[in-house]
Amino acid sequence: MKYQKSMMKIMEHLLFDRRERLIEEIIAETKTGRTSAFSAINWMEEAGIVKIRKSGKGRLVRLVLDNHALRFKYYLDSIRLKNLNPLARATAEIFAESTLNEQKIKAIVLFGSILKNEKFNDLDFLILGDSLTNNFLKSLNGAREKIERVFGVIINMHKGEFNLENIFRGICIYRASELKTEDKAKTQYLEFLDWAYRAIKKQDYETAFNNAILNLSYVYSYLNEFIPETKSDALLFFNKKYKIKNINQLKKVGVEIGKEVFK
Amino acid sequence: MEKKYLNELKFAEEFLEAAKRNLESSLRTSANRLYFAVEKAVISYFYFKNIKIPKNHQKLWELSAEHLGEECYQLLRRLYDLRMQADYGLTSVFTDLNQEILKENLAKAEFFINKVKENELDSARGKRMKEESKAE
Repeated sequence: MKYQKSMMKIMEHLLFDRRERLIEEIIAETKTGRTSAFSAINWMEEAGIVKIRKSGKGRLVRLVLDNHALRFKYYLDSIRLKNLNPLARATAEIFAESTLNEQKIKAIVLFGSILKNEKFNDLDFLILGDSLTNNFLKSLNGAREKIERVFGVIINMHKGEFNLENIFRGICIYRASELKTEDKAKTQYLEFLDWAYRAIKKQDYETAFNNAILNLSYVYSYLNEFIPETKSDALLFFNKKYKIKNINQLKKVGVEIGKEVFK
Repeated sequence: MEKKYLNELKFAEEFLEAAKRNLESSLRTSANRLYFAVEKAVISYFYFKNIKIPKNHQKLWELSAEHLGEECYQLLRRLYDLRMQADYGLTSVFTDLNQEILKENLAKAEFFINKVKENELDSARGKRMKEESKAE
């Protein structure tokens, strides 16, 4: 498609800042060539992606906020998520993965300070659905606490209606229409989280600690394309690189591997 | 180091009083002060025990679970959630911010702060007695 590069840049710009903008401003801020920017904006108007109106000598461009714009936003969100700090990204992906079976959730949006700074104190998740109750939010506490305790990242959950305003508040990290894909490493990793959490809470410590290491060994094997035939194979392979003796080491290695699984 | 732990404990008590005072007039102020009251008590305990204090809230809670028990973690986490709701409005809501819940948590916080205080006083007394008997 002609002017695709300019169109993408302009679209990204308009999605990020959804105010009506002068064409001149858009050209300057997106650093697109004048001719290609005008052609792209004209094409976008014809295609119904933007609306243009005259304002004095200039022309103001506004994005049409509909499902087409939303699809483009989801695409950009996917890229923005991949560009986040690896710890934040993994935490967000695991949180989304842990809520996959919750039918009431229509989308999850990551918002707050993490979108502005590389360093962050906590992660804010806006859970979207129709009329979600506080009790429903409380039911997600288990997943939240597990991730929080293993990853050392504070998770704040917020709830909101599934509407455009809320979807545009940050990066959409999950949508109800997403397919659940089979991934052995992810499955094992989520099991690791369960056991590691138990070990942290000192519930049947020894069993929990050992099972967490075993799960992690499988994850590490799969990540390195090694298919263990027995538990000992997995442990042996894992122990070549990692020696875990206490809960802090377990968390540290768990986070390191988690970043790889959910990158 | 001694001054530091006493200072932190003083803060904890001051914040606890502020939380009590504001319980009727401003739930938000009360919730905010209550979290910091307990956090200061924990920090005081860590200074007292010469434990390095993490800068990150969650790491501090985790360390508190290790040294003061899982209940301390849960108390701090709950109070943090109340504080977030108080300061930023629509946050978390897995502990509802209302007077009854705040009152309940205030009692727990007070009990905890007193426990830390007694613990520190007892240890300090014991240390002093040991030193005195050595001198004799």
